Amino acid sequence: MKDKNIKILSIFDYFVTWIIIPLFLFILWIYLSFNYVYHLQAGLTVLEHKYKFTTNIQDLSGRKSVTSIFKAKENNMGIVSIHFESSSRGNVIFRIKEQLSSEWYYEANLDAYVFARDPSFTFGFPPIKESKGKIYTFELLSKEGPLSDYVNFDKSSRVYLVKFQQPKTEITDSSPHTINFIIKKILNLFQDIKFTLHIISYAIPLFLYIVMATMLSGIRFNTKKKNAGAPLKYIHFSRYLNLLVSLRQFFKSRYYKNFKFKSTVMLLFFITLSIFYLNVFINEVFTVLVLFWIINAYINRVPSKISASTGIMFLILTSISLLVNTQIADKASAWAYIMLFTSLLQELMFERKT
Amino acid sequence: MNLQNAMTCNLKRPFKFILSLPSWTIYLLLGLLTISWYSPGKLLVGVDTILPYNLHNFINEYFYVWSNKAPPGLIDINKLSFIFPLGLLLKIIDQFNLSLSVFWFEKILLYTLYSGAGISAYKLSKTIFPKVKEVANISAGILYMFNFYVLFILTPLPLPILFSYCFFPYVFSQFISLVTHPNLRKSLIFSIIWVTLLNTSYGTPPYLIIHISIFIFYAIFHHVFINKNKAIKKFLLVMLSFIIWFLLSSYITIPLILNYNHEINAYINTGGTVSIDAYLANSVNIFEGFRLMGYFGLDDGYLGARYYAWFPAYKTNLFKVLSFLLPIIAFLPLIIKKRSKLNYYFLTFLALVMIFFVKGSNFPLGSINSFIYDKLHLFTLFRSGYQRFTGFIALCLSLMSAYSLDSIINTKALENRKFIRYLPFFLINLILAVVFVFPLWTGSLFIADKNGPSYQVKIPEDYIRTADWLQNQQEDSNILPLPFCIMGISNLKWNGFKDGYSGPNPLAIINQKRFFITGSLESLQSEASRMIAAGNERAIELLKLLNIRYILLQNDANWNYVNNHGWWISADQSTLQNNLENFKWIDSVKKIGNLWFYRVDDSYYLQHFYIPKSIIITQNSSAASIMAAISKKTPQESFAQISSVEDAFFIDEISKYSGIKKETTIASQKINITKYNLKLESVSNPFPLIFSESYDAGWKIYSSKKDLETKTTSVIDFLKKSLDTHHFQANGYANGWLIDPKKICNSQTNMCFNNSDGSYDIFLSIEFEPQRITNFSYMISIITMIITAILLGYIQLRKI
Repeated sequence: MKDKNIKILSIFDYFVTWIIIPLFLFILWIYLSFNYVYHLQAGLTVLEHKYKFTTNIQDLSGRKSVTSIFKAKENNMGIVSIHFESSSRGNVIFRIKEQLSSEWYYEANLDAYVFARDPSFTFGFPPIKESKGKIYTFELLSKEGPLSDYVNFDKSSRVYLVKFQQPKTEITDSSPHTINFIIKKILNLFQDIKFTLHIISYAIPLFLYIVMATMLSGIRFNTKKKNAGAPLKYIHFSRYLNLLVSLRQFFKSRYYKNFKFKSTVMLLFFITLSIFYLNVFINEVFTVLVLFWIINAYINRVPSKISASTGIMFLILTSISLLVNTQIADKASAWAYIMLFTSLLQELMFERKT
Repeated sequence: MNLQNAMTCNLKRPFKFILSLPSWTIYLLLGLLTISWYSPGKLLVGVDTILPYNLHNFINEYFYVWSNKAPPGLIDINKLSFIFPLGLLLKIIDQFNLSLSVFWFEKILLYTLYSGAGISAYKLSKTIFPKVKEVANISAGILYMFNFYVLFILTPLPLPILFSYCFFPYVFSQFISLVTHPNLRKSLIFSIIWVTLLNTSYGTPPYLIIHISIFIFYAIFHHVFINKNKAIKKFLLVMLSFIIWFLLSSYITIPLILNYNHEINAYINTGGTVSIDAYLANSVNIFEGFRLMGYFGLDDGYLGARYYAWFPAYKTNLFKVLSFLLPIIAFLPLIIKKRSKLNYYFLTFLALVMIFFVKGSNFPLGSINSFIYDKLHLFTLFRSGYQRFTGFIALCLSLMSAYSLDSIINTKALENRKFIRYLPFFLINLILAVVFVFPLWTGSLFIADKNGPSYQVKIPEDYIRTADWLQNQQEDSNILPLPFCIMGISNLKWNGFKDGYSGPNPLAIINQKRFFITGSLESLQSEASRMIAAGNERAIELLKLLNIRYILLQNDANWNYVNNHGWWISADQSTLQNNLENFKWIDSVKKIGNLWFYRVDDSYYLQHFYIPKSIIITQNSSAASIMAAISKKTPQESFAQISSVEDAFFIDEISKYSGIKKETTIASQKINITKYNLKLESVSNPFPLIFSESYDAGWKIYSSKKDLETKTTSVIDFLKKSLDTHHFQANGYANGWLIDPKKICNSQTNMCFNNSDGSYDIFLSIEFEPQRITNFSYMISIITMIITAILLGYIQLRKI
């Protein structure tokens, strides 16, 4: 006899579930990725290469200088980008030349205050067409400065970027050129951890959807606790388009039993990982993790004390990491803030109920 | 029930406070620490505030909404906040001829504020956590008096911030009391205390928005989470208290509302400090928000001198770790389970919200804050998030820490150990309130860096003598001090660097003459200063338009400092001296020590009010345009400039003006800084009248009685209509009116004399209209105060 509780998916449901929605999410992923690349400071036609400082980098104050030598890997070199940790006011000279040349090719006088606005500051100069293979040296020189510490370099990375602007006509000139450039550009982009993480974070909706659709459309759940012995019903997928409902259903399922603790620990693991191993602040990664934490706290009814304890632990971590690395301290304190806020909201929700 | 609770129950309300006296005594004693910050005979000087040297000479100025202390003048609503209670207090002292030197006034004020901060936080702690131990409440006050933010705000001495910081907790405790046990008496008391203690802080209007937001937020929180009973009664009484406050504060609220645009524009036009750059610079990292630090100036300086000489200690590892002790302790109760913590949750929520504002454009989600700031102009009021919001974080953390300490004291492990249980309390207070804020105890807070200006100054005798000399000069004219600073700051070398000074020009503070001490880099005064430095004789053309009679050469300027700083028009001392001595239109008239005065000759000087011989029309009002247009004029000729962007019909009319045919004299009588009586003799044809104060639509011409000395003004004067004359901007900044004597005298016969030759003698009154409204609002405040006092007295008598 046919069970009334069991519904079979129609062709239309399959089409929506496996073609339309994934295609939409895939296009969204591609669009967001292109949009990100398009808005990158570098632009679509720019190739970047990382170099390490060849001399010791010291903070600029008074009449001090920092120099570095590098070999250009492409033609049309036009930008040197350096990461600063902090800066106040003061005059800084940037100049660049071919190593053996006696005269500087380009020289610019800047107010160091602008570095505070844009920590990865790009020093632009008229592109050098035949730069590939040549050795260049650049110098950052502070003029007479009133107080110490007015330009601090990011000493943790010790790297800078050199950018090569490829003319559009050259790229589209012939198909080998175009293919060669696209391959170089893709490799170039994936060298940047920030880009990789962005691309991954944009793919999260698609990935989550595929995982959920696979699990929910093929698995039978016992949805009511009261009818533990009743026949299992086949869940119609359209009920799960609401993410929260579907998550809730998932977390109520037997597959999730014994998983509560693991999800919290896993999330904490990822959060800690993001604090220590992400060299940059990425709002998207942060937001996704925060959302996961809140959803996890809500669905699993994670005690507010866990959030609060984690918050205070992160606050302690902030105080210790401040001794060695400001960036870690900043990220740890941001997480302390979120954890404390979550804990507070949990407590308030509890108070409201009681 | 402990002894104190037992006594509390048996005491009537007016005497309950006696129980708190021992605790208050602790704060009153700790407040004495402020005396150790002074050196004998010296004033504490903050960049933001220096008290007027002759208090009684200056107090009247605070009652007017126009300020001409920094010519060419500007509308200044914010100074009205000084009127109550400080202004009124000084006025009373002045009326009774009681002598109060600025030295004593500053000491008493600082002591009151500082000990008030402790008492205030203690009172709030007692109100918000009624069941915690007394030592914990005391600790709340101590931590509020001794934390890093206090170090930061004490050095620049900004009065509005200090008033908000020191008294907001007390006023907030009254509000909580009103919401918890609503009655009419509490509603009235809350309004009066609010006006008395916090209105001074509304000299910085954002505090008004923040305070009201916190009150409303608490009322909602209380209704949602704590007690839903008597909701309508609570709502009505809270609204009533807000209305009473509004009426009591009419003297500042009505002018503020009516001149809202002026205030917003004043913030927007504050020398570039409103740009997104300023917002970014004032945003701090989120961890700095937790530990009350992060202001960019803390680790900054100029020409080898730190702004905060004591700050390097806070860069050491020990202090870095210690700086997180306060927030860690404050958030501990989220883990330690205790009885009802709702008020604690409120403080936690408030602290976290404030941290979000303080962090500004920084990670996480800083782009949201930046977007709001960039797109919504009202948020420019909150451009300096660190200064505005950190005080509230300090308050929340101090109270939360006190609650946390109480939780620790009450833990089971320490329950039966009478002395040991208080050990954490003493240790934490010792570390946070003594070790961590050592500059407060060692007095190094007001010790400047070795190459920097001092925060403790004694104004040299030369300045006092100069002020006396200036006071005897009768002319109502302007003075241009050189070297010229566009931001109103003087950097002077007194007694070498030992007593260096950096702050508002001292002469502008110790006497009532008008000193040009501000102006953009493109302003006429900046251009005039540049021309004088370059030895350009034609500087006189601009000096004439600016109504400048004296040039002051301040030889005690810190020349090395000012010539390397973008705020000053650079010039070296010897060049300035040579140029001033060689210009044919100026003579050296007085040298008092380092202060040398040069006086512009009569033939090159234009009065405060004048009728120009000719009009020049330029495309815009920039100094360059004006200079180009007046190149053909002889230096002695009087003229006025008008920009062609004015109304076309008016430009057409004024172009016909070919000078007054007959010699006309203007007699003027200054009644106060917002009112001048004028007598224009023998006028017949239309003519422009120029008034050398900043153009403002509020300056209006009224008919006047035929007497220059008329001072009477009525509170309902603002209902009177001004004369119908075309008001325009002249000389790039000044007010001008096109006066048609026939038209005026035909409609207003009571203000004109008909002369036998067909000309008229006209009596006019030039007034700043917002002052008329302000006078009316004073009356509303006074009437409301009387009614409130009567009502309160009546309620009190009925109770007794």
